[in-house]
Amino acid sequence: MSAFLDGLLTAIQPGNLAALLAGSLLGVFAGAMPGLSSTVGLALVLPVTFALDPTPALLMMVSIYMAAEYGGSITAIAIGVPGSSPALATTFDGYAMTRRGEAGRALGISLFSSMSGGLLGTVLLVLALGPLSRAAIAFGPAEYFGLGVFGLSIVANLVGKDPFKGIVSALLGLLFFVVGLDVLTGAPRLTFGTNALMDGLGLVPMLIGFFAIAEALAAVTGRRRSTPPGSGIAGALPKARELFGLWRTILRGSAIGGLIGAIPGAGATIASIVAWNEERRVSKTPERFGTGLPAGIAAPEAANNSCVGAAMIPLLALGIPGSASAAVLLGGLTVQGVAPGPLLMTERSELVYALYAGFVVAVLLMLAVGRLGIPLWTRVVRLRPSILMPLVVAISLVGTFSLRGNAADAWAALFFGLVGFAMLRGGYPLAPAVLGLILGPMIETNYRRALSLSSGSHSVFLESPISLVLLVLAAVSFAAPAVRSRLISGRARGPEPEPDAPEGPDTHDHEPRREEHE
Amino acid sequence: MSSASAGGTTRLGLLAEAGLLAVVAAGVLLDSRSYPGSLAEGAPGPAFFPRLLAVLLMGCAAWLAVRAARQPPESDPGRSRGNAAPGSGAGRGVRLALGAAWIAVFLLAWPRLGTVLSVPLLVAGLMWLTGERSRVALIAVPLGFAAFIYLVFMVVLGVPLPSGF
Repeated sequence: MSAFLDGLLTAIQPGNLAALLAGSLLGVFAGAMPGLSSTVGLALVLPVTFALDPTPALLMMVSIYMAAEYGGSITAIAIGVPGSSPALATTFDGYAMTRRGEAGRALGISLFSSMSGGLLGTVLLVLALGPLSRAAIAFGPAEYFGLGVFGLSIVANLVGKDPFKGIVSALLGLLFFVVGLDVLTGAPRLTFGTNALMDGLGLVPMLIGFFAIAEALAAVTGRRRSTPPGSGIAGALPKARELFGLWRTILRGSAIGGLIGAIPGAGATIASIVAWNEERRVSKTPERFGTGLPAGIAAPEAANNSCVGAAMIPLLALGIPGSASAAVLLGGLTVQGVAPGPLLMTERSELVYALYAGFVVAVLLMLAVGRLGIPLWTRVVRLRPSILMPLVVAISLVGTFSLRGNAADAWAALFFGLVGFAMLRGGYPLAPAVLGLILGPMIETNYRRALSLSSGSHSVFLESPISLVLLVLAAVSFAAPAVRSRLISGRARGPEPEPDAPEGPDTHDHEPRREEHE
Repeated sequence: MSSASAGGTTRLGLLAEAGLLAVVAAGVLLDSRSYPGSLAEGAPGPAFFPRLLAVLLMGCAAWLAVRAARQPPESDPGRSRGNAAPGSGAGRGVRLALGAAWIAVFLLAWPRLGTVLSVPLLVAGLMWLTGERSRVALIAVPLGFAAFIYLVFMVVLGVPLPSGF
């Protein structure tokens, strides 16, 4: 405890506090801007940290990481475009609330849940550094394959009214992943002799294309209209009683984020989608998810912020980054001459405790920056689409380009924009395709690795208890919607209600996005 | 809503989707002939996964074709829903093509014109296409936004965006 207090005293020294505050501001900005993300924000600030001492440099980076996870929800809620991929699940209910004129309430729920998730993730980091990192390192190819298939099974619950089209969307997402060099052999696949495709189709251009460009094209064709400028948009923050009433949801989301975040490679995007899906699964009214439920925001936001602390567990204990952002943090640690690993706690304990305390201070600063910024963020939704959407396109293309300084990424974003628009017009939800691109590498690479290690025997997936449990869960998850649908149709003979008809005044004039959220 | 009409797809639309999926799947199968299907020790090669996906997509295309065959030819959910979106279908198509083409022109011109010149043109063009007709907005917003991009990305963050010429 005294070591933690020493760390806290270090973290609140003026120079370190200034670094944490700058990190919060930059993090919220990076998270909120489509095309930027915690990873991009961290990468962009990495050169700045060279000039700082190790403690303020690392505190600034953890603050960016934490604040960006909340920042991603701002645009997800305000304009239906996730600022970063972990905010994908937040768009489902967050944007639906904005369309009802409840952007302030949605942002307040997101901020409180992010803060709670961030604090709980930090507690997890402090308490479970040893055991969870050991569990994570026990994962081999068979277990990762099981985790990937389980993640993909979530598609079955993301597809809305037509599971078939959701599955097609997921298959297309998996196909997009195949483009580029094969990870295991280096063989070019679906590149058609084009050098620009050798690096593959990235997740960021896909997200930008699907959620920003496609949306802008919908605006150009007159399919998107302005959010109704209800009088309650700016001022209606959630009541404290409502926030604390979400404690079960926040705890569940944080626990899911903590567990998944500690597994290297799984990441905040998967955690937030799993948390949203679990919340929907345990809900008494699952059919209302996607229509603007507070729990649909609280679960993914608690999960993705909880992931931040959890992702540090394998990073600090083993030097294995739990996410892309943690990988950039690893770069920052290395540049500062700090070698993560089992000896870090003994050799640089003062830095580790300053990091623990820095997480807590970063969460509190994120709360302050986020709370003060809500009136500003909610004004974004008052902008006319004829002004807002062109700005979204421009900043998305600039952000996509800045990711690697590569114009091919911006072209890929345009390609995905056209594909996304066409898919939405045909009633194909986009989220399964995104999930396919994210999980494709985990599924294919580990499937092939596992079979290579077992000389081609598929029993390797059944011999591992973790893999077996994950695959059984995946099978249950795949089958659940069909079974539920049969049960409901078996019971109800009368006319079926329209469970997820949006309550807001924007019911008919936002066709593509509505399909997505169902 | 029946599954066939999900997403407001007509019979012709379903057939087009089936055809598109079949073409994509066939393309993947053709391309995958050039890389190995299996490796030593019984492990699948780089061709295994794309071929599996192609077969599944072929199956989906076939199922879509079956759906199209079952759907009455006169059904057109797009008309019956009373969609309030303004403009005719052809007009929308033209605006969509113009919007996508304008973004493509921007991406082509960006390296030559530079960020400060090309971004305002992109924004102004898209604003006009999206229905903005206020001259003040069409001038002030793109210029102000270009200044923002320049300051934040190029000055503060030091991102090497194309500077042109």
